[in-house]
Amino acid sequence: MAIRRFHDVDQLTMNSGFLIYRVGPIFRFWQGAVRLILVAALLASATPPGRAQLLSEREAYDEIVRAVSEQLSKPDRLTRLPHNIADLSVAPDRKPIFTILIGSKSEDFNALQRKEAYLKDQGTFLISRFGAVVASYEDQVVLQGQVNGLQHNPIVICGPSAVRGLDFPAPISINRVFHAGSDWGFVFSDGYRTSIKLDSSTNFQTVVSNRAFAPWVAETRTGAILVTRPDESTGYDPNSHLSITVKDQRGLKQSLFKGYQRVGSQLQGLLPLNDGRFLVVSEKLVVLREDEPTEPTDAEMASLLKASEKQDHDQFNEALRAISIYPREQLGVLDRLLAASKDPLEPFQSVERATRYLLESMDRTQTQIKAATNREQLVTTFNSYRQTATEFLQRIEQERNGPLGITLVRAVQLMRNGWQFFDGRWVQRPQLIQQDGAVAILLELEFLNAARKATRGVFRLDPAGRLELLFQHERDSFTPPCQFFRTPSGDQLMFFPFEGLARYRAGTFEWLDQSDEMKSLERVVGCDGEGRIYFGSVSSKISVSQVESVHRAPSGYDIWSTPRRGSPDFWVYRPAAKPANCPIVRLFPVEHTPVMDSSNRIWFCPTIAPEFAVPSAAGTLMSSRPAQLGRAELAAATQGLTNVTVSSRPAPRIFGAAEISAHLDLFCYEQGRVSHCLTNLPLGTVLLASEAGGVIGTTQDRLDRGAFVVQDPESATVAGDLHELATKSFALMTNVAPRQSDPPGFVFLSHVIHLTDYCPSLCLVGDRLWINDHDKVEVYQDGKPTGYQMKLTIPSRKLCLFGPVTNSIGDQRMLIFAPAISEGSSSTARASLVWSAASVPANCSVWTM
Amino acid sequence: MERRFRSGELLGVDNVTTKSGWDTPLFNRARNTFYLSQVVDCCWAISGPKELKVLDHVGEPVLALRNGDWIGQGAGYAGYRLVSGVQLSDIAVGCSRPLMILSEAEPGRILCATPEGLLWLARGRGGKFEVSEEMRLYIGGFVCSFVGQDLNHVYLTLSDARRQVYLAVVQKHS
Repeated sequence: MAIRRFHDVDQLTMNSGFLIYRVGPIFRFWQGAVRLILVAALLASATPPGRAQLLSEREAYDEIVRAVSEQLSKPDRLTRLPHNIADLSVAPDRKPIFTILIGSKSEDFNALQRKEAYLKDQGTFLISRFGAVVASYEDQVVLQGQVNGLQHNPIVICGPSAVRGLDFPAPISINRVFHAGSDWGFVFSDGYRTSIKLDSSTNFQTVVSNRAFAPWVAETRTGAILVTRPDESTGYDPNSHLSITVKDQRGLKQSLFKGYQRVGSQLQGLLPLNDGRFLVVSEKLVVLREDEPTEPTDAEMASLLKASEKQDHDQFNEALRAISIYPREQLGVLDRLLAASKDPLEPFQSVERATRYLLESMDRTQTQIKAATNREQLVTTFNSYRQTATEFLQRIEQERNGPLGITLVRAVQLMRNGWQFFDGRWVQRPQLIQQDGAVAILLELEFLNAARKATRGVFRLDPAGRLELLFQHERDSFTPPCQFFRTPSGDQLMFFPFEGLARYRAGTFEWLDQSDEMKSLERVVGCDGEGRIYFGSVSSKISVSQVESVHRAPSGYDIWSTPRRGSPDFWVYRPAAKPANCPIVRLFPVEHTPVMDSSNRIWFCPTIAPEFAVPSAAGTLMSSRPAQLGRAELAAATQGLTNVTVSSRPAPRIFGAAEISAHLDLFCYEQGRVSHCLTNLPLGTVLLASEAGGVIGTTQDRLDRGAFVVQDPESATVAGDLHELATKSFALMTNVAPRQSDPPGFVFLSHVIHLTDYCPSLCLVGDRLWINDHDKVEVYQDGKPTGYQMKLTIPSRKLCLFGPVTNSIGDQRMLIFAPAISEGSSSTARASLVWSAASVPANCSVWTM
Repeated sequence: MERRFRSGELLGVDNVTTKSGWDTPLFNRARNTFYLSQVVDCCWAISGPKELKVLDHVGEPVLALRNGDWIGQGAGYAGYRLVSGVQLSDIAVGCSRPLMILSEAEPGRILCATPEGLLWLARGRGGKFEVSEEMRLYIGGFVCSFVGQDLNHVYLTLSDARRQVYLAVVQKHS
C-alpha cells in the first residue's frame, strides 16, 4: 500500500551516471519529460562527452591488478592487500596466486581456452578470475569456480600448459580435492551421500552414507590416507565401522574398526604405526583396536589397583596408559578406586595445609619487608624460612608419591579431569599442527611438567608412538594451534595466531616478531619465492557473527562461505623490513562510543572499572605500550575520589530484585590529562555531546536507568532519565541541549551486543525542548511536558528523533523515524516517518483549522 | 491563505519499506533532505510529509557532505558512489582499497578508515575524490569510528582482534 502511494510521486533512476526521473502517472508525464530534457541538456553542456564517471568491470579489474602489484612492491614490513582478493594461495613453485572475483559471476569453463584464461601470469604473481585454488601439486593447480546455474562449484585442473575441466552434474558438489599419488582424488556430495573417488588406476570409490561424518583425507606424497564411515547407517550406531584406507605405491589397503564414532567425528590426524596399528589424534591420542571398548574393563581396573598396591612402577604406568585413553564420561567407574584408596600421609595433612598457607602469606608480605628499615636482616630470615617450608612440602609430596611418582588418588583425579597418560607424560587437549604425510605428526598439547604444573608445548609424534617435546610455550587454551612453514632459505618458522612469528632451529625456539601489528593476524597462508610471507587476519569490518567454515581451502579460508564469516583480510609481510613507529600515544579500553565536546575534551566510559586489567589474552592490545599507559592513567585517576560535586541525589540503581554491582565510570581526557568524573553509571550508558561544552548521558537499557549532565569535570546533575532532567532542571537542559538532533544510528561498538537498540537524543528548537529517551518522545516548554507523547501511537520500540528540518517557506519540522517491530525473517523491513511542526518564523501568525 | 502549524502538531505519517530494521535515515543538512535505504542499491530521498522520491543505483547512504553532496555505499565496483545533484560518480580509490568512510573531518576532506590506519580523500584534478593524505597506525587493530580531532591529535575508536574497543589518541604529525 505504501509502495503504491509513492507511485504518485516523482521517482528517480540512473542512466549513464546521471539521475533522471522515472516516469510517474500519465498526467505528470509531460511535466517529467520536459524536466528530463532540460536536465539532460544542461548536464550534457556541462560535462565533457565521453568522461566516464562510473567504473566498468574491466576498469575495476585493471585497478585491482595494479593495486596488487603496487602493494607487493612496497618496502613496508606489513601491507594490506586489496580487499577484492577473495582468496590467496602460494603455488608449489612459490608464486602467489590471487583469486579476484568481481562481476556477477565467474567465467565458465571452456575447453578451447588456454591456461592463461584461468591463471593469468602477471610476472611476480598469478591471478585467477575463475575461482579459488583448492589444491596444488608440483606443476598442477586445481581451481574451483562459483556455483553457476546447474553446475555446482566446477573444477578446472591447470597443468604447465593445458587445462582440464571436470564436469560434475548437479546436484553434486565437490567438498575436497587432494592428490592421491598418481592422480587427483575427490570428496563429493550429492546432498544426501558423501563419496570419495580416487583416480582411474585404482577405481576406488566409497560411499559414506552417514551425513554426520565428514570424510577425513591426508596426502602422503606417495598416496593418501582416507578415513570414512562406510556403513549404510546414520547417527551413532555402535555397530557401524570406521574405515581406514591407505593408498600407496603397493596399492590399496582397507581396515575396519567397529565403533569409534566419537573418535571419528573429532578426528584431527592419523599416523600408521610401525607395528601396523593406527594412532589417531582426536580429543585424545588413541591407538585403534578392532573393537572399540566402551569403558575400562574389570581386568584393567584390577591391574591398576594391584600395581598401586605393589608399587610396581612399570605395571602402574601401563595400566594408566590403557585406562586414561577412555573419554572422561566413561571413567565414572574410577570413583570406586577413589573410595577404596586412602592418603598414606593423612595425619600430616593439617601441617601441610598450614605450611602452604604460610608460604602464600609470605609472598604477599614480601614487598612490605623490602621497604622496611632493617631490610637486610629481615630478607635473610624470610628467605631461609621460605626455603625450609618449600623443602618440607616437596619432601611430603615425594613421600606421598612414593616410587610410582604419583598417588593413585591424584592419577584418578587427573583422568577424571580429562588428562591422559601417554608415553610417560600426562597430556590433554591435543591440537594438530601438521600432518606430515605418514611420517610424523606435529601437535600442541597441554602437559604436566616436572613441577606438575600444566603448561603447553609443541610435540612430534613418530611412527614408533613416541612423543618428543620440541619446546614449551605458555599460552591460553582457546587460541588456535601454531602453524609450521618453511621459507625458501630453509628456515623453519612458526606462526602463533594473534601472538607472533617465531623460528625453530637446532632444537631452540626464538621469537622473530611479537609486535602489536602481529596481534591481528590469525593464519599464515604461505611464503613466496622472495621470502614474503602472506597472512590472513580477522575481517577489519566488525562482524556480529563469526561462523567458521567446515570445508576450508588450503589458504585456510573457504571463500564460498565468506558472506557468513566476513571476508578475511590478506596481508603481505617482509621479515627483513624494519618496524615503523606507531603514532598512537594512548589507548583507553572503552565500553561505548566516546564523545568530544566543543572544548575538545573527550568524555568516555572505560571497560568495567576499576580493574582495567582484563587478562591479556592473545590478540588483545591490552599489553601494548599505548594501552599500558592508558590503563595506568585510568588507574591513577581512579585512586582519588571523583572531583565532581553531584548537585542532585542519584536514584538507587535496582535491576529487578537485585541491586547492581557492575557499573561504569565517566572519565574526561583533556590535553593529556585524565580525570575521573562520575561513578556508578549503568552499563548501558550512552554519551551525547552538549551544546555548551561537557556531556549529557543516558542509558539504552530500559531496566537500568540513569541520566546526567556534566558541564565541566567539577559538577554534575543526575536524574533517572532525560525526561526527569527536563522537568527538574529545564534551564540547564535548554542551555546544554544541542540545536540539532541527528543520532548516528546503531553502532555495534562493544563486544557486548546491545539488545536495546534505540538512539536517545534531544534538541532545542526555539523555546521547546524535544527529548527522545526510553521509548518516549516528549516536547517540554518551561519545564512542563506539552503532551506530545499522547499524540504518538506508533508500535515501535526503536524511535529516532531527527531535526529540525527547514522547508522552503522557513517552517521547521521534526521527524520521528520508527522502524516497525520485526515480523519474522523478511528480507526487508517497514518503518513509519512521523512529521511534526517544530516552530514557525517569529513574524508569522499561527493558523489552526 | 497558507496554513501554518503550532509547534508539536502532527503534520503527517508516511510508511516506507527499508532494507533492514537496522537502517536509520541519513540527514543532509545542506539540502534539508533525509536518505534512507530502500532495497539493495536504492534509497528514499525524503524532504517532508508526502515528499518522497526513490533514487536508483546510489547504494546505501553513509555520509552527507557540507556542500550537499552525499555518498552511498555498495553500488558499482568501487564500493562508494558520490551523488552530486543529479550526477553520480564512483570513488575509484575504493575499488582496490578497503575503505570505511568515517566523517567529513574538514570541509571537502573525507576521513576514511582502512585496515592499515587512516586515509583522507579530497577532490583532485577533474573534481574526483583522490587520496590526499594517509596515516598508517602500525598496530594490530581496526578503526571503528571517528570521535574528533584537535590541532595535534585525532581521536578514534579502535577494535582489536578480540573485539575489545579502545579510545585511541593518535598523534597527527609524529
